[in-house]
Amino acid sequence: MKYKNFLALMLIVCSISSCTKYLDAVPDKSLTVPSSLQDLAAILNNNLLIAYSPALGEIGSDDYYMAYSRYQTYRPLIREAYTWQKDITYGSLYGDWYSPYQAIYYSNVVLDQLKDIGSNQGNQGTYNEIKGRALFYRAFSYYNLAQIFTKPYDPQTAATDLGLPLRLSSDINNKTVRSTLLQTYNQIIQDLQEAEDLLPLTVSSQTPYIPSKAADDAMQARVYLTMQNYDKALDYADSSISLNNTLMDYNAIDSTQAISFPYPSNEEVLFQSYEALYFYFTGSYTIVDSTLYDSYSSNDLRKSLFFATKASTGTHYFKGSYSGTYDLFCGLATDEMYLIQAECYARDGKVTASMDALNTLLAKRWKAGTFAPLVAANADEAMSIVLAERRKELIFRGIRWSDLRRLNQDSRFAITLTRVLNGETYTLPPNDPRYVYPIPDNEIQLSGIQQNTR
Amino acid sequence: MLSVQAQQTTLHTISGMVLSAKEGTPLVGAIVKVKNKAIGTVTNTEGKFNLQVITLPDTLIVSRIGFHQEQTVIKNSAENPIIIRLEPSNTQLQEVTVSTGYQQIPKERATGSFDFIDNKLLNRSVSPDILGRLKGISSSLLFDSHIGNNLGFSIRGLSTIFANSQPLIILNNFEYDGDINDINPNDVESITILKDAAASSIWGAKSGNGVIVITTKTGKYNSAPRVSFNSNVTITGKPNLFYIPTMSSSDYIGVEEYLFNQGYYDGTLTDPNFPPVSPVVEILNNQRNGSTSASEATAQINALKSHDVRSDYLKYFYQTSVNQQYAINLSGGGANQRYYVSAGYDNDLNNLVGNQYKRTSVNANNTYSLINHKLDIMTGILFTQTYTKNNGLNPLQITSGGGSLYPYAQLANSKGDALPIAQYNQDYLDTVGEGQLLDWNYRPLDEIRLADNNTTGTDYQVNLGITYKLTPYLSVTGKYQYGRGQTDHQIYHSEQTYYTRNLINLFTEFTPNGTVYPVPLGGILDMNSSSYTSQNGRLQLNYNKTWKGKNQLSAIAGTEIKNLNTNQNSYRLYGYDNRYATSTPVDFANFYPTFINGSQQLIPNTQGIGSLTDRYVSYYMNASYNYDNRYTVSVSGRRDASNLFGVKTNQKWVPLWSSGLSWNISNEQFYHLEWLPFLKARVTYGYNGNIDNSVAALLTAQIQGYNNFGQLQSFVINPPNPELRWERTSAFNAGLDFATVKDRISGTIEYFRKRGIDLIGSASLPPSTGLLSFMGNTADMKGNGLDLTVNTENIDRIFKWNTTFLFSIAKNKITDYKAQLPSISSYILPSYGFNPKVGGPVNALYSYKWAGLDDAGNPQGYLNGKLSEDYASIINSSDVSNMGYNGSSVPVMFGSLRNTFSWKQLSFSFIITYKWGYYFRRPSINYYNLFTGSNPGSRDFDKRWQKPGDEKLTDVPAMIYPADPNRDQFYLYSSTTIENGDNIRLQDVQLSYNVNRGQFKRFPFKNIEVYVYASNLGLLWKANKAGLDPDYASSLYSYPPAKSLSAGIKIDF
Repeated sequence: MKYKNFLALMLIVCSISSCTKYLDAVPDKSLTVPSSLQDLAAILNNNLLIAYSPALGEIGSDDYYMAYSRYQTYRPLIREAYTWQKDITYGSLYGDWYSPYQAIYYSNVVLDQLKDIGSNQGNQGTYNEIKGRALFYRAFSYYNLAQIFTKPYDPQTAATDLGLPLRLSSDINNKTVRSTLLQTYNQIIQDLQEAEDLLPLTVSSQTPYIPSKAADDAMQARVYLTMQNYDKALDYADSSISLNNTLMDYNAIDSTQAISFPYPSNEEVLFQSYEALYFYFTGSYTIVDSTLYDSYSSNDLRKSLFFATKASTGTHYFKGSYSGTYDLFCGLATDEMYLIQAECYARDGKVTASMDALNTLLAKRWKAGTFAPLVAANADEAMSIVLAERRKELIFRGIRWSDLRRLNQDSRFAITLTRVLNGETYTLPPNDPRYVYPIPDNEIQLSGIQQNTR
Repeated sequence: MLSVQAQQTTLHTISGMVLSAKEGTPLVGAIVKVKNKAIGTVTNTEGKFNLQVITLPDTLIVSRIGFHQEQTVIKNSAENPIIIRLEPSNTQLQEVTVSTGYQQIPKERATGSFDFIDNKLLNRSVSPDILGRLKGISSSLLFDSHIGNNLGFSIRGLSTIFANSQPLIILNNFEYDGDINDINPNDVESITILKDAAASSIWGAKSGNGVIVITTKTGKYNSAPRVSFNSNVTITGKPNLFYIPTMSSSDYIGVEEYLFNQGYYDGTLTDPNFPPVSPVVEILNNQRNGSTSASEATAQINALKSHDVRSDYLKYFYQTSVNQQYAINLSGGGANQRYYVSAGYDNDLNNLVGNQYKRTSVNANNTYSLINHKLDIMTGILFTQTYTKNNGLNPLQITSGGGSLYPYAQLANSKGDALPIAQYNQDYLDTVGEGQLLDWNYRPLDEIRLADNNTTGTDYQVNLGITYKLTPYLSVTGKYQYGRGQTDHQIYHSEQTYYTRNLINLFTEFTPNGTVYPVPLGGILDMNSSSYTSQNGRLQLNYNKTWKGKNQLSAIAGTEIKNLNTNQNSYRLYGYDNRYATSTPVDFANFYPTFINGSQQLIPNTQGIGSLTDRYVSYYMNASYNYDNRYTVSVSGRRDASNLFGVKTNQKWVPLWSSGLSWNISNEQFYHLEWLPFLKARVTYGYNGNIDNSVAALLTAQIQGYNNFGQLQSFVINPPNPELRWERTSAFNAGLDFATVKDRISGTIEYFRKRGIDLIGSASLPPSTGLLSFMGNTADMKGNGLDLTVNTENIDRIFKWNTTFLFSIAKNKITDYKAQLPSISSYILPSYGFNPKVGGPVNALYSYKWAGLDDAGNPQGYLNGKLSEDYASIINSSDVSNMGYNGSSVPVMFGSLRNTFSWKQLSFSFIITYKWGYYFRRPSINYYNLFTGSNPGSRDFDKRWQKPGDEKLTDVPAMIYPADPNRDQFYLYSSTTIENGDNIRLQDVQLSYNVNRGQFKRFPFKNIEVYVYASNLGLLWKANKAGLDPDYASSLYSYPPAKSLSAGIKIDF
């Protein structure tokens, strides 16, 4: 009888048009049509993708070098980026362009879906946090792309220089066009400002890839610094420090560990982001520039916490990542804010304030009882002290390339980079067009946007 | 006047009856014709006929499907009633009833293209599974590893690009949702293959790739109980691993020495992650450190040169496989009931030491016929239990720290004790942890002994069918099937296994308070289980009526509903103790420093759960009208709807239809070709559908586990696509069935054309959209082909010789495809996925144009029409003139030749299959991967360019340092590595001997058949000169199975 019932049921089910309901069952429980705030949060939890940091800038930077034998083992993209070739062969390694755009797409998907969900009293808190996160990730990705694929920001020419294609909706049918550099940076600032009041005030150490207001302000400080708007950069650095001024005392950290700063005990991290994994800076074959290494005083704890020495060659390699792993940390941390404060004060001629900010940081970096606060006679001296300390503190943080692009515009700080490989010398003079990477071929071919001149 | 009258008076009436010579039963539908005159008739349901003839004597020609034609001279009407007895013929054209899963159709009256495989042919071969038995015995069925679906075969080529390309498998009435290997082939009575739209469109949205209907055995009414027993054993030798064209140990060592001198390993040797280095590198490093003298090092290395790890594999990892099969069944029936009960047991010892498969199956079905045969009730149950032991270690999967294993590896010492393969730097392992860690060595050979990996499966299908005759013409059928299968996979990694030791060590922490084990000591137990529940219900009206003797209408209409739920879950227990089934909880949420480099990691968590639901609602009808056994018209229609994600309900309803026409020309009165007494023409046209569950109309995201911080994360997998539709394939089929006198030559020739519309295809997007491609209904394709089957009775005396020749052509071409591909490599490299190009077939092989080696051993190609060595530019070029088209990678022409010889009770047959018109890419040397250790290196290394002048003799590039992956890619995917795939294979050989009661009076059994069967016999001829079997040439890891030999006995009591 049970079977007959089923047959009868089947007849009824189908003769009445409730078939529709029967066919509304979700085919795969792991699949969702993202419609709840929880679904959207899960999209943004994809931390390796959503907080991706490109590696091409670091590859072309001057904090390290490698032996010719090591160089030869790399794929052409790495070799060409390392020696600043005019032509770059991306092949399948076009992730530094694609992955940030993937993060932007995910952010746009979330922002578009949020419009459908709408906020109400009940969901306001979560709604705002998700919206703030999406805006922040989008800004973070656009900023990272701009450091690699657009000209350095020059306030004089930004309105006419080529920026990035700005995608602000998840509709894939929208045409791809390059904005101006000014539009690109304005968009980054606009997103960060909108996110600022939506995010929680401070970071949770359990989920450091979720930005906070402190991280958002820190990011704005970084962006304004890149835009050479030092007043605004100072404002936001101040604001970030007012929310979180924690600095680790390096005296409390064990220098014998293979990785000096294990996570989650690292209290300086405001926002976690790892550098792209296709090029490994870790390991003894990425050799720290010896002049740079020697510039750390022997009482400077960073010397032993940041670096290890390879016994066979006496060369030094990096072990001081804030990511808790060997992967490079390219997120935001409180120490960067003190350095931005110090630089902005120095540029404004406020020498004492500049040195105070710097000394607050360095006091935590030197062996207890050995640190003598730094003093500068004038603004110029303060600037050179601050910039030297900036490089030393923020080594292998994905920041050096942006700094080179920015500082080269000022003849006082401009430098020519040089590499020697197998007797051959490669150089990269200041403001060279090779400070802008070409856009991968597949993008040019499929969207027809203008290529960078290099 | 007189003469006219005289003629009228000689109009004779001849009446008679046609009988089967064997059984003496009347034959319905036999054709009775007067020789050379347009006069003829067909026997009625009692086998009787009446004819008016003008003159006598004359000759009557009587023919019927399944019987030899008979000619009888009639001298005068006084001979009435004339009895004509027809001898049954033995060939394929015997009257067969094909099954569509919805109804049984006499093949004679079918318009569609059906291929029917009877029980005898299915039992010709020996295999544990049913589908493997179809190899070489059905036209249009192509078994080939390049087809790329899980079943490994296609019907009439491909009809789709990205969607499911598997033919639909029907077991009796419904789609089979279980594992096809669970079906015991001894329970299968016949198989019908539905090839064209008229045959298969009744299956609607899932029929686009053709349909295979498996019909299981049932009892017969009014038959005595019959017991049949079948048993066989199959022995398969160890595979020939030396077939794999990898580099020799001494060549490999030569490369390592060269790289060591270049400083290639210096980074690895000092890497803080302590990756392993090979023994040769270690010896060289010791020599450089001075801890080993030069002469000692040379001696050590020379000792390694003579070793080939494949000898160890064959000695310790492989065994001769032994498969045993036992099957017994009982069937019979009375006037109102029939039954079939069977049991089967298979026990297979695999070629890999430690692997075993056991299957027990029980099948029972019963049909009751009640109320004067008005009500039929059918019940059935099919039960299968399987056990798979998977302790074997496929040696080709043994790695050294994730890289490919060096060819001189030694897995056991002379006493047979297991030797370790380094997974970390051996010097480091020897000193690390000062004895506080568990042994950190990986000994592959021990792992087989320690492995405890098994799967148990249970599957059952319960069937109920009721048919009630409302009137003599109209009946109603209800069918219901409940299916359930459960698979439990359990892996116990004891504390002795490397997997567990490694994980425990990796997380071990030495603290001032002692050693801490975040991954607890003890074993690790992984449990995965998956299950499905399917419910199918059907309500169908059947109408069957014959009127005025010549009109016959047969129609069905019904509705069907299906619900398939699949569930999966997995979990893991740490610190598991097998004796007491106890485990220790671990902390999956927090990060722990790992031992080797201190990086923070989470303890691996395999916990997962998944649930899939497939639902369908369908309406269908099929009607065929036959007039006078001459003309048949058929129509069929179906509408399907499913819960396919997000498609609006109104768009989900997809109507599919077909229609067909057949004409038995030889039944026409004007037909007089005596040598060709049977001729039938058929033509059909219609639509089939196909499904791709991987695309959805709405934006979808998929939960994929947890992120680095233990939070649930999802990926956006599908941008919204409100236009999404199901794929459709239109198909045209025209066929001709024929048989000559006495069926000496009979067969079928068919031509088909297919057009795939709205196929799911990919369209490229600029990366700045955040997506690289988009899947939608963007592609169209077309295909055509030919199926030819010819049966001949070459000798038909005591000694018989029959031949069946099968020949098929199946071609296809992409006619529309929207994706703009960024570079020619997207067509050439499989790693870019499957990228069809308009104008080429779905499975096309493209390659970089090859211009030989230059005088320095560098490969040369073409860039914009000029010779070039700019590999990066060639690879990234978007100009398709820089690449060449080599042909289809799937055979375009294929078929077989089956010869059967019999003499008295002895029968011998063999099948030769052939595949034609296709190409494959053979593996060759990839220096970059060889250096990084991710690939074992090809034997082509021997043929590499070494000195100027070699470029005239070889196409294998010189080894350069540093290796250039673009140069390797260019060479490996250039036209020089393309080989012609054409081949002729000896598929199998069968020998059998029958003894029956007819021969010996006191013989205790009705029939005994003893048989021997051999398969995997290899190629008879191949076009390629590389010595490769195209079915086993895809990589440096593929090799053909060894020859296998079976012997068996079948007893009918």
